[in-house]
Amino acid sequence: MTSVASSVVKWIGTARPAAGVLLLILISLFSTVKLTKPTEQFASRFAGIVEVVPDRGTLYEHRFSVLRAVLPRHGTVGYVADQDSGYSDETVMAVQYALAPVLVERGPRHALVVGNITQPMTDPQQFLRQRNLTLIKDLGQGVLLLEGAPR
Amino acid sequence: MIVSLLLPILPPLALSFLLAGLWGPGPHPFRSHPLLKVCLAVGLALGVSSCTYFGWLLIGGPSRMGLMVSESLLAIASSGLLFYVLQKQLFRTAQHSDSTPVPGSDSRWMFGALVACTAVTLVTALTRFMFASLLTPDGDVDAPAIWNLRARFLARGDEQWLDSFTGLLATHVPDYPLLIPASIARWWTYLGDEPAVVPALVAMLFTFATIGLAASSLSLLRGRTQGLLAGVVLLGTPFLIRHGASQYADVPLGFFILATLVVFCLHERAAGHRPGLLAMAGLLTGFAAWTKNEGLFFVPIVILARLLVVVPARGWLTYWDEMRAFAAGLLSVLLIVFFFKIHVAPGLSPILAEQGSATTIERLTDTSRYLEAGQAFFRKAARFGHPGLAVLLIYLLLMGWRTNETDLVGLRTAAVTLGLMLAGYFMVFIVTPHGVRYQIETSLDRLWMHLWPSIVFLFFLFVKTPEEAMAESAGRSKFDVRKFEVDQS
Repeated sequence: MTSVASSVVKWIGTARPAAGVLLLILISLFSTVKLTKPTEQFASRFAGIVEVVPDRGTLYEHRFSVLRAVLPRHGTVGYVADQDSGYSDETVMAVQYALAPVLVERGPRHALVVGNITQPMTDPQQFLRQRNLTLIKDLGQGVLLLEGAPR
Repeated sequence: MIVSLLLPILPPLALSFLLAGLWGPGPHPFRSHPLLKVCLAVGLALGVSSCTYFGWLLIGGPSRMGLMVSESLLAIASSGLLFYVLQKQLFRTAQHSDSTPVPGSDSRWMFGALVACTAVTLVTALTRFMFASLLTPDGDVDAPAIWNLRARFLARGDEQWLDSFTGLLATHVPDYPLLIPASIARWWTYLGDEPAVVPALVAMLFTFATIGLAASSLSLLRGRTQGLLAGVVLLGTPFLIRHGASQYADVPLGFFILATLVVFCLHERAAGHRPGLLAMAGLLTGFAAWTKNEGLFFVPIVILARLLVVVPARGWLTYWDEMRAFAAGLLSVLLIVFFFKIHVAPGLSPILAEQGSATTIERLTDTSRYLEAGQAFFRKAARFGHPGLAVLLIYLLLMGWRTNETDLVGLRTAAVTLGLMLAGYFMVFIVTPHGVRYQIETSLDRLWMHLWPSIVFLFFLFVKTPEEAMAESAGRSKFDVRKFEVDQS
């Protein structure tokens, strides 16, 4: 009788800390399952199950890399876009990140202006006429180097 | 390929490892607690090299060759000096071998399960980190908008590197400190190229050094099981891994806050006054201020927390002695931070600049702001990461806590520091000019991330180890059985 009671009490004593450790282990392992989601997404994309769409940064880095090569190494350039989203902080930051250390300022009032055309329906000639800008070079993929009217 | 990619960080890492060996715990500078010293060395290396790079930009300008020559000379001189001092201290006397691991009768099955669990969570976290970095190579929103953008200006800017501090940038935050951008720019300058993997590597080093530091320091202070448990909890916090991979500066700041508290605890375990460890704590606190503006707030809080804990326990004289050594490390970095704030990027942070006596008092007396911020804080505390504080609370109830005189001062320092940091962050939510809801939605997660690794460290310093809890239960069960026998008779 005594030995059974002793075993039960001892088991409960050992079980309490073990239960605590088990709780932490299980919850930590369960939460790591959450971490596998992006891995699955990545694998699906590269297995061809889903179309590979680069993130905005990579996309802008690629589109504006040619422009960076023709811009001066320093200074400030203007920036115009064909739609409101082209002026969003995220888009301007992506252009700025691609063109650094050249500074990018919203608006056409600089000797050199960067044009960002993202909509296929946009007519480049009309886009330039509306903003009173002259095309210096069309670098493809909707990236234009323009001559503006400095302040 | 990999060696040449890592080459720029290896010399500062090796030097920092020597420094951690010189000042760190254990009888042997290199063989004792190598993981702990490597993790500390990661933070020290990136901190010191960002300072030398910034110093070189100011003095010598953006010359790659000049940077390499000056840093090499500095590295040779420092390593010579460190080797000389280390040789003298190679085998420290027994009085310095006090920081040996706590002898624990590690339960074999539990230890095995924990090792397996750590391995699984570590592999998952590493994989997740790598795939996240491949999907967004330049990091999430703030990384290309602030941290990596500034790194590009520093690395590409030539004589015009100061252009990144202009108000023309879409993200006008010129006063953000430079530890992360300068570390990346220095790495790129050495490589002569700008591979996107470098910011991801810096982020990875900080994320996994944070986890390694918490685990290895607790292994030393409380035993291997406790160290592994802390490691598993941090690895099982998805936001830590996700946010680490986003390349923001919050995880690095969390690393420096944790490292400072760890070093203070190591100092408490060391026999006698160890000025080297205190200087290292000062250096790490300085790097927190060099990482983010919130780190500047951490500096007076650590000094105040130490005052509140050490003076009642040991008196003013001890506190003064400690602060002298602490200040030696702190000021060497803080002077650079102040120079940057005064001469390179003057101006107040928007949250301070937009305060006025009338509006601030109005916000301070608005009870609805306290209610809204309080609710958000408690909700976040309960659900932060996985497991959140709620699970840790259940664990605490199952295990119990201990009061060990040896760690009491270190434990109190960590608790007071984290309490004051939380109170300070809470007050920022009250006086913010951007609105409480906006501040909660945009920054509460990130502010928690600064403190979460230290909270986990403090928790496992405080809670009983499984071995202690089992030993206590076994002792109690003997008593209970005896009581049962008496009742039966």
